[in-house]
Amino acid sequence: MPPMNSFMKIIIKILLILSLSSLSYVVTAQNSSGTPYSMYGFGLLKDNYGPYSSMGGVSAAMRDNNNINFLNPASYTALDSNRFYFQLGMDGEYVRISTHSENSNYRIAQNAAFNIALRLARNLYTSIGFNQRSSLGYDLYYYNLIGGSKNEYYDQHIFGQGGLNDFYLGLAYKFGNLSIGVNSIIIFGNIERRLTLYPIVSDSYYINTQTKVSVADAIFDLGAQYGFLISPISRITLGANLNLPTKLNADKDFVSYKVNATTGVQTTIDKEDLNEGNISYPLRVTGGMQYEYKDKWFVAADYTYQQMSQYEEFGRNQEFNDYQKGALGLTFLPARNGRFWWQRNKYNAGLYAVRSQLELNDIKIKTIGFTFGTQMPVKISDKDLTLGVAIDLGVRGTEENGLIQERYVKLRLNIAFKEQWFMKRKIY
Amino acid sequence: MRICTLILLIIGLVEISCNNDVNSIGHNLVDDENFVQVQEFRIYNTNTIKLDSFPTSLDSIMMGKVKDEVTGTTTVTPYFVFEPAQIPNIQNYHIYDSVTLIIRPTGITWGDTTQIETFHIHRLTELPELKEKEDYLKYNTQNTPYDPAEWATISFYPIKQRFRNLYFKLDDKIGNEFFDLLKARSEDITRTANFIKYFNGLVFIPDEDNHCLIKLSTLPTDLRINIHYHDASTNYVYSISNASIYTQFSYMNIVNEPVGTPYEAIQHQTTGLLFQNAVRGDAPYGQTVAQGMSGFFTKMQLPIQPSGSKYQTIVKAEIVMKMQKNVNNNNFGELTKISVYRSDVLNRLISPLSVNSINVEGRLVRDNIDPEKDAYVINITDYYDLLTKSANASQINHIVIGPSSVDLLRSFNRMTIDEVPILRVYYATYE
Repeated sequence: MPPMNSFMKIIIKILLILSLSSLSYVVTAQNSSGTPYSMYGFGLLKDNYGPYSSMGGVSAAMRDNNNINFLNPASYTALDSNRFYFQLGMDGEYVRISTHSENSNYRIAQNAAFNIALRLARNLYTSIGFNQRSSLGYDLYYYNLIGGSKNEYYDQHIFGQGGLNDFYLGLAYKFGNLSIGVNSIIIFGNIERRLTLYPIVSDSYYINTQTKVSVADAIFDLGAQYGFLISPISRITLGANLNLPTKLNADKDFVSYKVNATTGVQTTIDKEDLNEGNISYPLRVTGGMQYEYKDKWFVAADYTYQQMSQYEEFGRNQEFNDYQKGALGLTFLPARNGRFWWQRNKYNAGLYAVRSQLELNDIKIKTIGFTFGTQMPVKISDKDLTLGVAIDLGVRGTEENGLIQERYVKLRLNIAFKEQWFMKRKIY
Repeated sequence: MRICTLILLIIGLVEISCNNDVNSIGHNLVDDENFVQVQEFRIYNTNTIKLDSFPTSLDSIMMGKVKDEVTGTTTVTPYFVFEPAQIPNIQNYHIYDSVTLIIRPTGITWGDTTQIETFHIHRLTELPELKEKEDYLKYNTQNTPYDPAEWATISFYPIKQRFRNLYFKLDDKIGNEFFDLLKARSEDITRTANFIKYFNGLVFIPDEDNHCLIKLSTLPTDLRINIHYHDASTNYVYSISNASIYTQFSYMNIVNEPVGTPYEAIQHQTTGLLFQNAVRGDAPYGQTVAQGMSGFFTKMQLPIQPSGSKYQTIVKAEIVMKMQKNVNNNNFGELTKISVYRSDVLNRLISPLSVNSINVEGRLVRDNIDPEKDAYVINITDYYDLLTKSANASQINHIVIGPSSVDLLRSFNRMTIDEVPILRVYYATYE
């Protein structure tokens, strides 16, 4: 274990701060999403995340020695063999949502990922980290006409919070040009949904329900990357990763109450505990390629497919569509070892299109996004920091058929440190 | 240090920047499997029934004869007993003057109060009989024999603004009889129990040509017989008052004759008149009525609807009965509160309908915008929820609606319904 230096002390302090802030985040159970589209399934899946968010979120064939690409474990073998890596990703977004008759907005910011990586042995690398897989958060009030009545209404309040998170341990091994890797992922999380139906009529009861789903189980993310030169100045990398379909153990508690609106007296109607249920996590495949030219131009493309039509909650198919995403990213690096700082920056752009699993009112919910950003290397003595900034402009959904459209601006900051830990001391 | 500061700033940004203003948008995304709906069911098995008899041994006294276009003619004949006060010291030099009857109408009337009302007062020849098998109560169908010779005839205009104590001079024969008993300090007047057996009481028989019902005050100071006497210098009054202890002997005979109305068809309590068969000019679809004093009640057999499937429950159930307008209500008030009773196939009033020791009651709900929509509403949520879950629901879904047991004897107010009653059930479906 190398002696602790001042930089390490700084890192430890940062980790402590991050741990406390993450803990406070969990304790306050803050909604990490504000969109009604997160009501379905285990919440809103992330369409564009990871260290290459500014490139449309490509990941399958991405590998470099500045970022921990936790989305494909085979990429760990690209990291420096004598460096210890830390990486922190944070997201913030501003969303304007609208229907044909009204609009609103929300802002969300959260710690999205924290990763560590290092080399264990020759050609063997490891990474450990924490990511957010899905988010669910809504608090909505509606005023509806009572069915069968012309002038009586009821209030409907629906509330949801939670999501799924990952804690993973990954290993990767390099066989020449081929790298294979696996992330052993513990998926865990709580999803809570509440409903109140309150008839606005005298002397009636109203209904409160609460559903809590707790998930804790393991899945494996298998990855492979193969890179080869097609000329002395150009290189292609092919990549793929795969989650096999898995039934995640889940517990579900459901309770419903009938409450006398006049006296407040509450009666339990249903109380159900399902302790050995499961939520099916369907097959997810991502494949892509990256083309490098003269270490200056990089083009990458990805395709992701998840068989969400097979998604089930406690044995009940949720009738989703399959999820598909295509992404294209471009990077320009003027000069990796340029004299000026702007020459050493990577300038990124990308776009992506998603056909989500949701189909509402006969309309398939799609997302289109345009991304751009930069990755700036910062050298501090023998310590390297890469600060990635990504801007994501996108549109999700539509105002047709009474649906909502979300126009968002997302900002992702990715901070990756690497420090030399494994240099032998020279004895003079 | 700059890096730490930067990171702390970013974390601070994270902690304070979350803001969710979205709280109503996206209505069409909400799963429509959770909702509230209302279903209405017409209660076609609605009948008007008439009680064969009901106890009237209470402290409320009504008298008179009234004709109601809806329910026919109702005659109320009260029977009273009187109790003597403490005997004064009457000497031989005291001289009898006269005897007067004092009554005090309360101002509560039904019918036409603009004409003279006449009552024939007779003395009872025996004390009203109380029987164990009748729970020592007197019923509206009972009579007590009385002396055919009138003790007095009283007449007055029952106009409300003139209601005060009314004084009527009575025949001196009975007055002298009382005075002799007082002078002799006879036990027939010194002991209340003896006096009641001696005097037996009075009956006020309404004249055939009367037009209204009048409610009398039963306070001893408001209903009494005064014996006036004097000596050389002073006038005295001795009162024999309406009974305050032996009230079980006081009762009302109530006879309703629905001649000329559809309710003439009701021969017995067990045979009701179906709503649809009570068609009349101002109620072309039918009618049902409930009224105090006359014994009319509305009987229903509730339709048994599902209590709700899984994840569906009844959040409200109510009976709605549209009130008939323009039914001579200037002279007859509407019931504003109604009681609900458990019943059976024989139309008996078994007990007040209650859930968790709370009696189910209904009330008249006025529509401020459209008076034509005034209706009686009875909230039966808890009862109906239990009923629909009961295995023998079809045997216990009989209810009777009408005046409370108190209003039955204290009010001639009427509930008149000219549309088939509706059972309205609100379901909430949730998951």
